[in-house]
Amino acid sequence: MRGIMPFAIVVAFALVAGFVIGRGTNSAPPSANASVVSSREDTTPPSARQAPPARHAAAMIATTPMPTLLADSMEASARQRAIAVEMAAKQRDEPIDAAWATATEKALSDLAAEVAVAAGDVEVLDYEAECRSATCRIGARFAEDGEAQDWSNFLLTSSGPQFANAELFIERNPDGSSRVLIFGSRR
Amino acid sequence: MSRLPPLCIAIMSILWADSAQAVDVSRYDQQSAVGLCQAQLPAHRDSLRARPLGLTNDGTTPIFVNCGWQGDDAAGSTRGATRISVNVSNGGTTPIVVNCTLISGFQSGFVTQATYTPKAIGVTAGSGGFIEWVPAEVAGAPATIKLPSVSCQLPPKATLQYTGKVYSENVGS
Repeated sequence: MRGIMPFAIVVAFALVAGFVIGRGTNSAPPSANASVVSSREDTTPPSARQAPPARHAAAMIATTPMPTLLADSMEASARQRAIAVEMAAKQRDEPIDAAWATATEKALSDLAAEVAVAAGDVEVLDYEAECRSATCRIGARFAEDGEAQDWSNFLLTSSGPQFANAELFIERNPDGSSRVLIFGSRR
Repeated sequence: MSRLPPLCIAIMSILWADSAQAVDVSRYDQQSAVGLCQAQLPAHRDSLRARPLGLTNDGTTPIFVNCGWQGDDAAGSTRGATRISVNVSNGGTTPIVVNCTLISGFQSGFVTQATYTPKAIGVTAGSGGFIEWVPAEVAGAPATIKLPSVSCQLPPKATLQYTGKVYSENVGS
């Protein structure tokens, strides 16, 4: 019994020390530990470290909860309009690949007419499509918002041969009509 | 000395339990299209047959079918999808092309913005195939697809059989 006593004291001490040390090093969640390490190593000013704001809906949802995105409808509309303007400007700066642009505009025009029938013979107003070398911009107006939703969904579902991905904007006009704006990226 | 092994185990257990971190486990949810998808227009519904193993277009013109998954848009959540898939088949006697698109977006009142990732697959008579999407294919390259929907154009005799979603779930330590 006497031989065991010193060993038991050492073990008890090790138990307590191990518990205290373990608590000290692991009490913070992994993400908090990671941020501490990162702030020690990264000397870039916070403003320069910030990622640019997301422009595509899927990326916006991935980083911002939906209630936050739609908390203020006026702000959401303004943000959406600003993103659309930015995408339009970027598309205007692209060089033109005439062969691809002409063929794709024709294919989209045929598809637009086809899906208008599929959506219940909806009337597509002010249709326009302009393709350059990497992106096509498609615009159209509809008397009813539901027509805009159906037509644009049918068009984009069937646009796999033309587009790798696309961004859709629908905005309600003061007269009740709806404006569709699509930016499709070349496949 | 015979008490040494249990004591060592006790010490190691305490240290191990305390240092263990939260773990993300990969999950795969598979669901028949009948429980997840529906026709977009009333006219399309007339042609759609909703059977336990799939939704079939029994009409003579193409119809559009939409499917929506559960999502999680909480900040910092790891449950967003890392792969979305649909299985389609051709019950007709001629080859068909099935067009589908992944949609991730939001809509409220007068605001609609959505990201589309369209794809197409050719399916020979009597066979089937998968269309799959991963985050890298989506415009804006999100880390995961948090609120996925899919829209498919089903030609006559095409069936949307089932859907799949791969995601991570935090199961604690």
